[in-house]
Amino acid sequence: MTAVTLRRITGLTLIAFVALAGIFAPWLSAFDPNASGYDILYPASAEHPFGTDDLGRDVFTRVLYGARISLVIGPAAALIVALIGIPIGLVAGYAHGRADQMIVQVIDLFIAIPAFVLALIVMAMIGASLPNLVFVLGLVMWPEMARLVRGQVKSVRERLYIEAADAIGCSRTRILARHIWPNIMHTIAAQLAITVSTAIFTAASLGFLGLGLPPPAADWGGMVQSGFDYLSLNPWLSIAPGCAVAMTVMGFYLLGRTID
Amino acid sequence: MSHHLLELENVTRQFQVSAGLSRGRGGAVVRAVDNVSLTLEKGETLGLVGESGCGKSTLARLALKLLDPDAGTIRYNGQDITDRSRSTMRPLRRRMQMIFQDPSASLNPRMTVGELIEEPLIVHEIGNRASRRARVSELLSLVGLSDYHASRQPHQFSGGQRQRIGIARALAVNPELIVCDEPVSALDVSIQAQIVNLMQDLQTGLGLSYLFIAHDLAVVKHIADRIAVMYLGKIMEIGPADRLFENPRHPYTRTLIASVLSPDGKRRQAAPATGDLPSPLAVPEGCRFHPRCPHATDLCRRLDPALQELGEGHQSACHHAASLPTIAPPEAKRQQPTPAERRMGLAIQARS
Amino acid sequence: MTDPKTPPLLQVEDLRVSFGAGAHETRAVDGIGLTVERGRTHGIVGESGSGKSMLSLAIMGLVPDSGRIASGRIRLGGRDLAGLPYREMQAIRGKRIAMIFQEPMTSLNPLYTIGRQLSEAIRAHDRRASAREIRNRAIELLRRVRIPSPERRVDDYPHQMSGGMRQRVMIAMALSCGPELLIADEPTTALDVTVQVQILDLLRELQDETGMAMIFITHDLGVVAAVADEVSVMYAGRVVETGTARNIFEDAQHPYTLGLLGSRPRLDRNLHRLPTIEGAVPPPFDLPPGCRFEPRCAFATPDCAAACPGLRPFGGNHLAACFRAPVKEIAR
Repeated sequence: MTAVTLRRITGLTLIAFVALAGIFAPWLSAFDPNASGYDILYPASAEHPFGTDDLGRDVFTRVLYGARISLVIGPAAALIVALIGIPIGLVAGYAHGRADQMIVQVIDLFIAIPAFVLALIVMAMIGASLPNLVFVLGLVMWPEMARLVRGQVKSVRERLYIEAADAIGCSRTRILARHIWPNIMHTIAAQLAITVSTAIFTAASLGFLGLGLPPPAADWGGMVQSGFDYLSLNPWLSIAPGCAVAMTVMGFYLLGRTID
Repeated sequence: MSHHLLELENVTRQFQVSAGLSRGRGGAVVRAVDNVSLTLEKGETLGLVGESGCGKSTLARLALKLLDPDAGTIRYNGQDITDRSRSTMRPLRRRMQMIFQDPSASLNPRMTVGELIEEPLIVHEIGNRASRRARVSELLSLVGLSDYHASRQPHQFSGGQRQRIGIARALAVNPELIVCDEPVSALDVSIQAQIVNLMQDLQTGLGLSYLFIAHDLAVVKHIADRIAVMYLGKIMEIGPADRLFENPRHPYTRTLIASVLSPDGKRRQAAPATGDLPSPLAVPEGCRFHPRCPHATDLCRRLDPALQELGEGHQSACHHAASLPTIAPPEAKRQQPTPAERRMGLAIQARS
Repeated sequence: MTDPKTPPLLQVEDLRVSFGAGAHETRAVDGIGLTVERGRTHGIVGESGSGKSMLSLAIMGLVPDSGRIASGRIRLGGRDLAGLPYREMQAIRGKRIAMIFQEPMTSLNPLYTIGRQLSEAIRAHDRRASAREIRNRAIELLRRVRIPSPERRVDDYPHQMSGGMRQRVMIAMALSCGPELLIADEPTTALDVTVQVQILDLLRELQDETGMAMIFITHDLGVVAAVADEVSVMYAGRVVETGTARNIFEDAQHPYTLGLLGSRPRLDRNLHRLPTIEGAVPPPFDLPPGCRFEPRCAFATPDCAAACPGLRPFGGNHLAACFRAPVKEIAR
C-alpha cells in the first residue's frame, strides 16, 4: 500500500467514524446532551463513559452531538469559501491587468491580517450564533482559496494546450470551462477538504475563547475550555472533546493531502 | 482579382523583457519580428527556417493572430484582419489551424482523443453529435489511427501518434491554411519521416497550404515549395526552394546549408560559421549578420540592407547579394548508389 | 588499426542493465558489447528507448537506484568497473572518464561564476594548488575550448552565456582532469545548427590535442558521420549493427540502419517521398519474442519472429544482427 492510499484510508476512516457518531448519537446514548442532572462531575464509569460535567450532563453524549455541529460548521464554511473564493480566483487568474491587480490587492489585504484575529474581532462584534460563526469562517478563509485558484489558473493558462484551444477558435468561457477547470479542480477539491479541516479547528479555537456557539450547544471548543477548571476531578471533560476535534481535523486534512 | 491566401506586410512585434529580479520598467525590448513581409499562396508550402531566437515561432502566432502585431498589416484572402478582435477572429479560425511542436504539451491531458478531435467541430457548431462522431473516426483513419483510439487519453500514445492526433485535430474543420510550428523536431528520426509523408499526402489530398516552420533545413527543403530564412527577427532570404539551395544569395543561408550534416560518411570540408548567435537583446548595427559574415564590408556595418529582388521571387537582404561568389551546389546525383542505397531501394519495394 | 596486443581502452562485454525484478523485470540494456580504442571516437546511434543513454550511465557507474547492472563487464584499460564500490568509481569518474550532457544549463549552478565552478572541478583532483594557480588553470581551460577573451568570461555567470558557450564550459570542466575517455551524450542536440558544427569541430580538435577517446551518443546520423570513427547502431536495448563509419554509412546491412539512413531527408537528393520505417520502437516491457525489429522490418520472414539473431561478421569488424543480411532479394 502506498503512503497516499494509507493516508486516504486513514482520513476517510476518521471522517466516517466522526460522522457515524454524530448521525447515530441518539441511539448510541440514552441521555439528552443538554439535560442537567444531579450527578455532577462524576468520573468515567460504565454509565457515563467520559463522566459528567459541572452541570451533570453526560460528556460522552455531548461529544457525540458535538460531531453534528462540527460537521455542519466545517462543510458550511467551506461552501461559503468555495462560493466566494473560486469565482474571484478564476476571474483574477484569467483576466489580464486591472481586474487582476485589484483583486490581488484585496486578497493581499485580507491575508495580511491574521485570519484568527479577524475572526475574533468580527465574532465579538456580531455575536455568537451558528450562522454568524459560519459566516465569519467563510469571511476569513476565502482569500486563501482565491489566491490558490488564481495561481492555478495562471499556471495552467500558460500551457501550450491553452494556446492550442485558442488556435482552434474556442471562446474564453469554453477555455475556462473545458480546458482550465478540469486541470485545476483536483487541487481545488484538495484545498476544500483542508478548508473544512481548518474551519473546524478555527471554530473550536473560537469556542475555546468563549466566542463559539452560545450555551448550551455541545461545542467541542467550548467544552475543552469549560473542562479546564475540573481537570483533577474529571480529565475526560477536556480530553474527550479535544480528541474529537483532533480526529476530525486530521481526517479532513489527510483526505485533502491525498487528492491530486 | 485573386488574392494571396495569407499576406504579412511590414509586420513587427516586440516584447518587453524584464531585467532579472527588478520588476517593472527598465527591461529591454526584444524585436522578435522586425518588419517582415511575406505571402503564402493557396496549395503552397512556405518553409520558414532559422535558429533559436530568430522569431519564427512569433511569426507563426502573428500569422494566425494568436498574437497581435505592433505594426504592419495581416491579410487573409485579401481581407485585412490586423485589427480583428478575438471574437471577430473566431469564425476565421475555421479556415486556419495550427500544428504544434510538442504534441504532448498541446493536447489537454484531461480530455480523450475523441473529445480533442471533436472539439473544433463543437466550437464552430458543425454538424450534430452523430455526424461529429462519424467525422472523428474518419479523421482518425485519415491520420493512420484507429477508431478505438478515440476513447483513450493522450498520455497513452507515443510521440508520433500524439502528433497524428494533433494533425487530426487541426484537420477537423477542413481548414485551408495550417501553420506548422516545428511539427517534427520533437520526434524520433524514423517517426519524422512518417509524419512528413503524412503531411504531404494530406496536402495533396485536401489542397492544404502550409506555413512550415523548422530549424532543420533538410526537412524544409524536402517539404517546401518556397523557403524564407530568418535571422534575429528579419527575413534574410526568400525564394523558390530549389533556387535557394542551388544558388543561395545570402551568406547566412550559405552558413545554414554548410551546417547541415549529411550522413554520407564524408566529413564536411571547412567550418562554415564563425562566432555565436548574438542575443536578440543586442541585435548588431547595420546588417545583423555582419559580425559572423565572411563577406562583411564597411557598408554592412553601417547600413541594414533591405530585401532586393533577384528574379523569380528570389530575394536577398544582402548588400553583396549579386556579387557573392558562386558555390558548387550539393552534388545532386552521384554516379553510383552505395550498396546501402541499393538495399534501401529493396526495402522500399518490399514495403509497397 | 591499433596493435592487437595492447588491450583497447574500454571494453564492454555482454552488459545488461535491469529494472524491476521477476515478471516485471525490464532490460534497458540487454547484452551489449562495445570496444573503444585509445584516441578514437565510437558513435552510438539510437532513437529514444534504444538504451543508449543507460549504456553511458552504466559505464559511468551512474545507473539509477531503481536499476542495476545485472551482468557483464566494463573494462577500462583491463580493470573491471562493473562491480566497483561507489567510492572507487567516484575516483575514476572525472579523472579517467568524464561526461558531457545535452543540456549544459542544468549541469551548471546558476548561482556561481563559471570560474568558480571550474575551480571546484580542478581542486577536486588537485588539492595542493594555490587559488591563483587554479584561476590561471581555469582561464587556460576556457582558452583551450576556444572561448574568446577567457580572462573576462571566467567571471561570467552561466546565464550570461549562450548555449554554445555553456557547452564549451562543460567541455572545459570535463577536460580539467585530463580524462582518457569522454562520454558525450547528445552534446549538440539542444544547440543551433551553426553552433553545433562548431562544437563538433572543437571536440575533434581537442581529441587530436589530447589523444582521449570518445563515446559519442546521438540520435542524429549526420552528427555521427561528422565525428565517429566506429559506429554502433542500437535498437531496443541491443546493438543491431556495428563497424567503421564507412561500413555503416556505405555498406549498411541491417534493415534498421538502412531505414534510419533512408528516412532522413537529404540536401543532395530530391526524393518525392521519404522511405519510412513503419510503426514505433517497442517499449522495454513488451518486446517481440524474436528479432526486436521484426514487427517493423520490410524484409522479415517467419524465422525472424521465432529467434533473436546474434551479431554476425560482414568483413573485418563489421557486424550485423540480422538473419536476412546481406539483403539480396525481396521478401514475400
